[in-house]
Amino acid sequence: MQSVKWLSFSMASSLTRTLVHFFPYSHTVAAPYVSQCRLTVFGPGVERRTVILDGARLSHPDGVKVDDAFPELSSVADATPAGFGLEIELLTLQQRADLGASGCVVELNAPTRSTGQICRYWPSRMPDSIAELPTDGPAIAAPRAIIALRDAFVATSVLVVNGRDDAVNCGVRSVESTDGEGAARCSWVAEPGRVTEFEIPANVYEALTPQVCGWGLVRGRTLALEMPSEKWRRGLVAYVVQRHPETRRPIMVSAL
Amino acid sequence: MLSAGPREERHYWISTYPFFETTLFLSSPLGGPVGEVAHCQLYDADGNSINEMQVATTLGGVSVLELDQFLAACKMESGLKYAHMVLRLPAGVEEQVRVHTRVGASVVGPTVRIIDRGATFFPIDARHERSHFVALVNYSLQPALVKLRLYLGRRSPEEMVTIPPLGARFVRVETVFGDCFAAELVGPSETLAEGEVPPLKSAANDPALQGYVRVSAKSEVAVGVQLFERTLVRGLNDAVEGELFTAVS
Repeated sequence: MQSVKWLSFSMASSLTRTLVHFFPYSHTVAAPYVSQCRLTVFGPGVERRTVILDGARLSHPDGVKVDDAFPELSSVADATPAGFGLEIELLTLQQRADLGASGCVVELNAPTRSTGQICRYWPSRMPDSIAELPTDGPAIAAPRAIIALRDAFVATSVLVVNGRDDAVNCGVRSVESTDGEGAARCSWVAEPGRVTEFEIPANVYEALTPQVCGWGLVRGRTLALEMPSEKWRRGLVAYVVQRHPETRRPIMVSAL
Repeated sequence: MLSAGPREERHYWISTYPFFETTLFLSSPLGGPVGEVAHCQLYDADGNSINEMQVATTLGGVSVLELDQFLAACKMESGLKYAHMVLRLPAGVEEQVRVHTRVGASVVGPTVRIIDRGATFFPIDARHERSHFVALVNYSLQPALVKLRLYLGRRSPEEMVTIPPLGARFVRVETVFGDCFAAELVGPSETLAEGEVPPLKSAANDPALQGYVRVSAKSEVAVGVQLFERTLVRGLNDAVEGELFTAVS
């Protein structure tokens, strides 16, 4: 395959900036052939726009600050706390180079990259082609377990990047019961071309007895994330995000 | 009750004294039977089995396991207690590994698996408030060989590392590639007196401070890789209050 693509999100607020690090790599070619990185952003107040970065080479890691590639993000950033959709694609014209082994890391950092905590994560890799997507199966994907935690260090939320043209219904529910009394269930709509972050509300944890750990009390609950099936997932990904409960800075992002 | 369903295996590099405390969180299985058991096996740096635990998941809850208590038998290697943790999870069970210090917490993703000619990479922020170490675990019963290459400025020095079967290693990037850091982070016009320690630049936003570590498998056995970044946290009067450790999740 001569291209590989990830779907992620970019934060560009007064507290957080985004860097994209990429590693075009091929098992089949050792020479440092030229490759390209293609970045696309979308979101409220921003026209869907693509920037092509030249100069990347196979087997050589590299990176870019998203606001350097898209300076317009800074003018609308603070009004969009969940951030912008971000597609990252690596390409090469070398027919023998299979970029399937390439890597990408997204970094959320303070604007000055001062001594604050850095959050880095592996973004969701997109299917390589329509042909790889299943064509049958249930309309709703099997739910995926999420570890929702709340303590002195983190508060948990679910972030959905919807790069599609249609709205998508998403939800989380507690595992004890699907419809029984006391079951927690929350749902929201991921609007097309938007990044939607849904913080797990405090009442989901209320009934739980906190566990005593070395660093203090922690409340944890297993939730099931409900989203449309794989069949429809092209352009739709979800992440678990843990933010510091007071500063709201992201501490952990994990692709689902 | 043991699960008859498929089990997923994850490999982590974990540590305790004097770096941080490590905690394992396990979700309950979705739709699975109550009491599914997750297996956790710990090997020391040389690959000796030091502990084995079974954790019964609870319906709807999150199982919390503070791992320091299980690392008592872990031998010190390079002044550090660290281990290779192999998790075998029932189908549908998710895990989260979190490290804590006095001033903060962060989540550590599983090691990235590379094999044969495979490679992976990690960004580093080469400021003097930060330091980095590459954490390696060997999934197999054969010794594994990996090559680390640092990309910093115009230099890209290399280092080979051998990992014992089932064992673990950690490599301090600023120590192994000390010459490169000194040469790249001290300006060409600056000269050092003999024996003087190079003052690392701390200018924020200096692109020269962005570096990368590439890790390549050089043997035909699977190896797991993670990179930890250690950041000094300063408070009033610039006094060091503590340190944070972060990894790619």
